[in-house]
Amino acid sequence: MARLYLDHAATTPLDPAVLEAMLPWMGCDTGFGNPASVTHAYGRTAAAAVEQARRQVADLLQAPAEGVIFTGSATEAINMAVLGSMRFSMQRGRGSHLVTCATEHSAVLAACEQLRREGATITVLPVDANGQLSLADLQEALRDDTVLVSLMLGNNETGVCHDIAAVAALLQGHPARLHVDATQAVGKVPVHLPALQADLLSLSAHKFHGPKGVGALWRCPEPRVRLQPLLFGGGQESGERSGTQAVHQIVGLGEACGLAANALPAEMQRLTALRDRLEAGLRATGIPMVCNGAGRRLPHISNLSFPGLHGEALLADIEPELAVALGSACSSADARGSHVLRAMGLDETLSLSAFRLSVGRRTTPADIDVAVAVVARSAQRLLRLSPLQPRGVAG
Amino acid sequence: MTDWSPALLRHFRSPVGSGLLAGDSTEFGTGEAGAVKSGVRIVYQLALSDGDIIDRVGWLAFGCPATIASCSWLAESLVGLSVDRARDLTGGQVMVALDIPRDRRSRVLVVEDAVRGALDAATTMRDT
Ligand SMILES: Cc1ncc(COP(=O)(O)O)c(C=O)c1O
Repeated sequence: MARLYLDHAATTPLDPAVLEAMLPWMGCDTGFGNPASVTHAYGRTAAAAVEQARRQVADLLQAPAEGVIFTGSATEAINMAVLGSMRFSMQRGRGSHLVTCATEHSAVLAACEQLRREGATITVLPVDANGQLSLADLQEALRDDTVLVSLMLGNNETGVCHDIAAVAALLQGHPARLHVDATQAVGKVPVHLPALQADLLSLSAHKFHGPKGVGALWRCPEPRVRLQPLLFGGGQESGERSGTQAVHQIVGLGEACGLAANALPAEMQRLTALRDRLEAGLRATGIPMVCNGAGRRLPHISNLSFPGLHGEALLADIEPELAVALGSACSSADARGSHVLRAMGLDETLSLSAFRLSVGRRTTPADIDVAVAVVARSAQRLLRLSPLQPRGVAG
Repeated sequence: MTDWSPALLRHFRSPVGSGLLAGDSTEFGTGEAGAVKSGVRIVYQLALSDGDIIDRVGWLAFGCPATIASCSWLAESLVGLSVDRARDLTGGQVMVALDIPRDRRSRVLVVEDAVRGALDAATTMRDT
């Protein structure tokens, strides 16, 4: 196994305090109650734990707790927001138009594809070479029948941020709702609903040292944003997400939110410093390098290309020491590579060499120095083998 | 990520024969194949001794670990072979020797193309 984990954008290790908080809710004798069983203490203590977690999520977002709906993942929260608000509108013969962006997570883009099959009209905004969208394009895309604008706060491949507050300001006076996929941003930067003015917001515990398999959708409770549920059943989560709540998971999400709230904004500065150290360290090696994505970025993600070498070869070479991600999936399974880098118009030598490093709570400056040394050594070795470089001579 | 075989990783991490051949370009044949756009680009070179034996090999490769390992395995296998024996070496043998995953086999064929190109060039050079 790689010694150093630098793939925190994919997932993060559980914080020990989160594990500690979850364990009592995985007990064999206690802590197993169904939060809906209000007739006895087993159920009532479980319900209290769920409500406490709801407040912890809401506090992190500085938003009313009634808005929090627990889900099984950010993917589910996103599907609920995107499919739920569009279906609610379309079933009532109201608007059927949605605006999103080419660099959104596949959870958003695939849900939009489904809506298209159901008769919705989807506008996918382009981005520039830095990964930024244009507010003028958004303004132009808005129609009288636009129901939803769905944009991410920070991109999971490049870290590039959309100016959500500016988007919300632009939507002032327009009936369209704003959904923000904040999955990568939560815990890394302040994600405060009063500042963002979003109507819907998705997040996932495992991206900020909480457990996998739990997320949340915050939807404005007052005036209530209406959603067509994805799941029908016992009416849990205000009828919007039926199914017995996974108490231990929800408690873990709540605890992760509590820890994140305490750690910010110092953690944001620490992560930024680590990322900057990484990029500066690699630049100082003199190996030609391109940083993919520019402008405001999330503090923990760096998407880099070394033109002339193949990202997959680099990753295989460093794998015994470093766990990082390919910037652009380019195996035959997805020969077209990353949709994000493609949307930014990267040429093939850049997109095929792209890889992503992402730092986390336990990453130290010394880890970064190791990463720089390992990546630089491999990049130099592979560039010597590359025909896309000034030609080397056999030794 | 793909699980590469130990043999493949050995060639990938310590490749044999990498780099281009030194000396007068009339002494060796060069073959090129692939395109950056499709994620593989190979330059392969072979030099023949008087007895039509391959005595030097050089190559450069842009591609995944399977691509680089294939170039290396062939370099190791080609040196000392006659041109005719070299022509019998196929991508299929590379695939077996390195246990190349199915979805990477097309990359080996690109390497094979570059090697064939180099063999053709080297024999043409010899005949002129
Ligand atoms: C921006 C973004 N949105 C959504 C998701 C999906 O999250 P989950 O794994 O909780 O379904 C991810 C994680 O891969 C992500 O990075």
